[in-house]
Amino acid sequence: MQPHDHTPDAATAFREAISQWQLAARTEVKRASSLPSSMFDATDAMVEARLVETVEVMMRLLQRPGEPEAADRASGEHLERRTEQVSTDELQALPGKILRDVADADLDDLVASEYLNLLIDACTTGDAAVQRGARELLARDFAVPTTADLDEAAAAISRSLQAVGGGDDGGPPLDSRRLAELCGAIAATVVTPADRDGAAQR
Amino acid sequence: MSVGALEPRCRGAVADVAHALVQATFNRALHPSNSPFVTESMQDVVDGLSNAAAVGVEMPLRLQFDELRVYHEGRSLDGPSLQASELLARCAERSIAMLAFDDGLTAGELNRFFDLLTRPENAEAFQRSHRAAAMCAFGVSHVKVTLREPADPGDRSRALTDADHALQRYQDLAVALQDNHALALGDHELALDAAAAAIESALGPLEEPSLLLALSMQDDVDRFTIGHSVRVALLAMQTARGIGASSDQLVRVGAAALLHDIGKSKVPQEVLFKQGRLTDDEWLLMAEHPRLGAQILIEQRAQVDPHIIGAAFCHHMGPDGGGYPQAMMPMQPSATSRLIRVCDVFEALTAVRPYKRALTPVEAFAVMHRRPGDFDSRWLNTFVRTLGLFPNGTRVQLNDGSDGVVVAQTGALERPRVRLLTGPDGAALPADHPGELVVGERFEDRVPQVACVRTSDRELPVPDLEPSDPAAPARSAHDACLGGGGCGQAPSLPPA
Repeated sequence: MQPHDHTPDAATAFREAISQWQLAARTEVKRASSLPSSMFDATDAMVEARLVETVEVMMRLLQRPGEPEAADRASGEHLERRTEQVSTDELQALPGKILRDVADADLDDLVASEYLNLLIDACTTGDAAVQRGARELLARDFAVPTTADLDEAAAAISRSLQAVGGGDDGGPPLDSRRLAELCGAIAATVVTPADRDGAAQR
Repeated sequence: MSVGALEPRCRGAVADVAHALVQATFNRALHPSNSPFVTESMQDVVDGLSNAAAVGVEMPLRLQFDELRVYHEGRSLDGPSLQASELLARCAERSIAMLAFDDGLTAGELNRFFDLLTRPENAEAFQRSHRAAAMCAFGVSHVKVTLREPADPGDRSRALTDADHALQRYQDLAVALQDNHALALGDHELALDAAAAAIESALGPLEEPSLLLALSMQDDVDRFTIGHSVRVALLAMQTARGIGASSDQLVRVGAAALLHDIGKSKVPQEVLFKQGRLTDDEWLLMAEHPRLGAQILIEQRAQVDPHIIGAAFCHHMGPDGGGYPQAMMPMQPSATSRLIRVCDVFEALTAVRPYKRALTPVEAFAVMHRRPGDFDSRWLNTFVRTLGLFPNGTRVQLNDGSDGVVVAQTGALERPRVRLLTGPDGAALPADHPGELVVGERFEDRVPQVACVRTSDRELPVPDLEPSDPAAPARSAHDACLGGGGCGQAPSLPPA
C-alpha cells in the first residue's frame, strides 16, 4: 500500500476522510504484524524490527512524503520590475502646474449623452441578452420606440442624440447625412425583427 | 526574532505570505479546488513561505487572527487585513486563533488544508476531538492550528476604534465587490444594492473616506484587482467630497468607481493575471473589458445607474473620447467617468504590481502632468489639491532627519501636517514635544521641509519645491477629510 492511497478528494468530508485514514492505518498494522506467532517472542529481534517498520509506515502515513515540486511554474523572477523615472526638475516644477482651475461640482455633466451612446453601442455590439437590455433602456429612458418601423425608430434616435449631445459639450459634431445613416443602422438593431415585420404589415 | 528586531524585508516577506493566503482563500471561494488559479495561489503561499525563511523569518511562521485583522508576532498586518474578510470569517467559524506554517509545506498539502478550512461540511474538523485525526487524514503536517481560548482577543467583545470601523468598512467594500465579480463571472444578476449599501456605510460620520483612504495608502496594502477598485472608489469619493458633492452624488460616484472594472471578470484570468508582456491577441481581450463591463451592467436593466455604466465603459478614455474602447458613435465621457479615470490611473501608478514598483504619490502626480490631454485638467487639479502632494498616510523624513507620517492637509499643497515618529536624526522625541508640526512653518528654531518620502522598498529624495498657488478648491479637501473637525485636528490613523 502506498501511503497516499487514502488521500481524500476535495469532495470528501473530514469525518469520512478520518474513517478512510483509520482503516488504512489499521490495515497497514495488520499487514505488518501478520507474522508467525513465534516471531512475537519478546526475545526475537525480528519482532522489534517489524514493529519499527510498522511505525515508519504509519509515520509516513501521518506525515506524507514530499510531493514533487512544481518545477515548471513560472517564478516571475525573470520579469523586469519597471520603475517610471521622474526627474528632480519635474518634481520641483510640479506645484506650479497644479492650477486653481478645479472641477465643477456638476458630476452629471454629459452623463445623458454618455448613457445614450453606450446604449447604442450595446445595441450594435452586444449579444442578444445585452441588446435586449439596451433596447429596454432606450425605450424607457429615451423614448426610442422598439416596436415601430425603422424610419420612426431612426428619427427618435436622432432626436435623442441631438437633445443630449447637440450642445457644445456633446462631442465632435456629425454631418446630417452621416447622422441619418448611423441612426438608420442603429434603428435596425433597436427594432426587433418581429416588431419590424409587424410594422411592415401594418 | 523579536518584534522590534524584525527587519523591513522580513516584515515585507511576512506580509507577502499573508497576502498570498488572502488571495488563496479568495480563489478557493471563486474556483474549483483543482483550478489552476487555486493551485497557483497555493504555490504563491508556499513560495512566500520559502522566501520568508530565506530572509530570516522564524519558522514556523505564525499568523494570528481576530475578527478584523491578521497579525504576526502581535503586530497587525493592515495591508493583508484589508481584504481578509473571507479568511477571517473562515477562521472565526472554526474558532482559529493562530495558524503556523512550517517550511516544507507544499501547494498540495496547503490545498488539502483549505478543504478543511473552507468547505462547509468540514466546519467542525478543527474541534479538539477531531483535529489531529482530520489533519492526519488530509495529510496536513506542516500547518498547525491553535484554537481560540475564551480569553483570546478574537473572542471578546471590545470597543471598536475609528480605525477598526474604517477597516471594517473597507472590508465591506471589498466583499461587496468580490461578490459582484463572482456573480458577473457566473452570469448571475449582480448584487448592486449591496455595493451601494457598502458605499453608503463608508460615508458615515465616523467612517469618513479620508480615514479609509489613509488605510489604503499604506505601502503594504494588497495588490489585487479588488483592492484597486476599492481604492479608486475611495479616491473618487474623497475628491467628490472635496468639491461639496451631495450624499447621493457620493454614493453614485463611489458605486461607479467600485464597479468600474467589473468587465475584468469576463477576461480570461490567464490574461488578467499574466505576469509578462501581453501578446497582441491577449491585449485585444484585455482592451475589451470596459465594453464587457458596460454590457454586464446594461443586462441588469432597471437596477443600474447610468453613471455606473459610463464609468465601466469610459475609464480608459481621455476627455476627448480618445483611448479605448471606441464607441459606435463619437462621444465624450461624463464628468464622473473623467474623475474616475484620474483616480484609476493614479491608483495604478502608486500600486505595487508584480512587474513594477510603486511610484510615490508625488511622482505619480508628476507623471500624470506630462500629457495634459490624457486627463480632464480640472479634475486632475482638483484631485491633487484634494490629496495634497504628500497625501495623508505618507511616510516622510524631514530635513532635520526626523521621521514622521502625514496626518492632515493644510491647504498648501506641499505643506502637510506631519505627526513625528522620531526626533532629529532618528532620536527619540522628548516627552514635552507636541508631536506634530506643519511643513514650511517655523517650528522651534527651524523651518521643516520634506526631505524624502519613504515606501517599504524605496526612499525618494524630495527637492525644494516651487511654492504652489495657495488657492484651495471651493471646499478645501482637508475640511472634507476631517468632517468639520477643522484643519488642526488630525484624523485617527491606523496603527503604524
